[in-house]
Amino acid sequence: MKLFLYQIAQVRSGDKANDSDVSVFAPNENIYNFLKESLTPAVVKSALSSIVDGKVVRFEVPNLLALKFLLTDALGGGASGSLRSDNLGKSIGGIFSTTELELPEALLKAVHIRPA
Amino acid sequence: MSKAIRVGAGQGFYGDDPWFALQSAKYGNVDYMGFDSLAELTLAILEKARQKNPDKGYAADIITYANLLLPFVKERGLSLVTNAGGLNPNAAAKAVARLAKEIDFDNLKIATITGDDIKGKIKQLRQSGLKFENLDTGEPMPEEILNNIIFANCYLGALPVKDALDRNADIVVAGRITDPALFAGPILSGMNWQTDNLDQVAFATLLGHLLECGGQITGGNFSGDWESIPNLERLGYPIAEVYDDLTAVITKPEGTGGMVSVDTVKEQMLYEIHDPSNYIGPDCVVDITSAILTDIGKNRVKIAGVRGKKPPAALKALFAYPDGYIAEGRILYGVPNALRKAKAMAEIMKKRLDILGIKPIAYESEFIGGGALKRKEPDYEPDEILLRVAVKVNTKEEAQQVTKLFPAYILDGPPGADFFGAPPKPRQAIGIWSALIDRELIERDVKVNVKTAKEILEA
Repeated sequence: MKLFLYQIAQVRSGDKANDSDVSVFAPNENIYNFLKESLTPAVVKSALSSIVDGKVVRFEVPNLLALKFLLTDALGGGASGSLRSDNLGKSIGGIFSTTELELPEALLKAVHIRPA
Repeated sequence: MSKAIRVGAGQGFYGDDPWFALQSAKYGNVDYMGFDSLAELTLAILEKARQKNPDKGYAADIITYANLLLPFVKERGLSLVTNAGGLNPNAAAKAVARLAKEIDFDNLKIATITGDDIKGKIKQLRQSGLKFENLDTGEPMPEEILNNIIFANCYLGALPVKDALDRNADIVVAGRITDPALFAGPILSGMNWQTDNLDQVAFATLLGHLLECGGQITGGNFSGDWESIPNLERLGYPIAEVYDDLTAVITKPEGTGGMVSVDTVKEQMLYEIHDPSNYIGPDCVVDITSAILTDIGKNRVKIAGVRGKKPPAALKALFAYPDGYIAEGRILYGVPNALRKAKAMAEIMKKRLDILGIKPIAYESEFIGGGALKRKEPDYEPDEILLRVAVKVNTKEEAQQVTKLFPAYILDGPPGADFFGAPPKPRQAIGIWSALIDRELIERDVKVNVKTAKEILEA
């Protein structure tokens, strides 16, 4: 089934200086494993290429069924000097969460799929 | 698990709404509350205020909050910790002492924490051989920045806060301490935890991190099923109920809106920390990769399993320097061809700057309603576009010139432009240089003073 990441996962982003960080939370272990396969740093970098000038580093946090992405050089200079409307990176998670995924049918069971 | 203390979040940022803190004080049964008033830009504003008047330089929020909450301190023994001392904790303490006197609370014990403000000793540190290498690039601090520092502060941790509270301070007025320290200090003191027990320090620090952003853990900024969060109009700020077996429960005051669940807590847990196994603070390095969150009741989430590692040998310092001025303005365009009009206007603006001889350090045009946040053009025709142009220039005069262009181009540019309001006044842009400094060099000058309101006013 084709759907957007935000329909099955929580995605929040924030800032630190000129970097942003994006956390993705899966609702269960199967989806966590699926996202771990799907959301490689290269996929994230390509989805956010218009925003992120630096690199993408991924951390796995299995105890929270979460993936954490550190995006360097992502805020146009950092909070106090950036000219961007979103100088704090708050919208980056939402933008990333509109990434489309092809979720295997077997994983659809027992998952609450939020409306698009 | 025997019940111990309750620590509440009172303020998430400079200018926050004090209503939230009042709910926690009234209905949250809290022993301690922490208040975050400082951001980098706030410190720059406070430095200007201090230059004009040596009795200023603290965040004015402290007056609002002290006015509201000192009665709870007096009647219920609530303790408060704030970083609103900014660049002048002593002046802030004096202001609080005056408020205490007004409510016949002369024996209010006020602690100040100083020593984070290192502007006065930069030259001396430099002469002793420090190069203040940039944390990201490794480059030594150039003379040009060194000679133009607006403010310079080192992040202190929770230990001086614990010290102040151990000495029975009712209100602790600090400057640049880390945000988690506002809560970790009370937890370490209230639980009588030892600073050499790294798991205890780490647990207190992580709980501080969970509380530091106010409503962001109780349903605010929730990226999950956000429409299901009830009553955001009377959102409750978080409270940590801390137990001595290294567990805690995150909850919120009775009768408030919002929600506390594993889903809301985990979002804040990873928020703005980089490596979850190495969340570095002045007091320890926190590892949350073994933390366990459990829903144990309505709006109650249990947390356990946080591990601590040795604190770093150096503290992080922020040096702020002037980095030009920012001017910005907006013009609203309607159909037909709203996006084309806005893009044309952005080009006209660039050429106009050229004619005026203004060479921007940076130029940003955004088409709001047309992919501004994505920084991508939309594949549809928007009904309207708000053009936002932001320009960074060298001088304030240039910035003022740029600001004046926006109203003129309502009439002089593409058709159907709407006046969207006067452009904001130009503002100074602040550059931030981060560096590490051997903690010994900082901590030897950190002082914790505890005095009554009466003693402060008579001094």
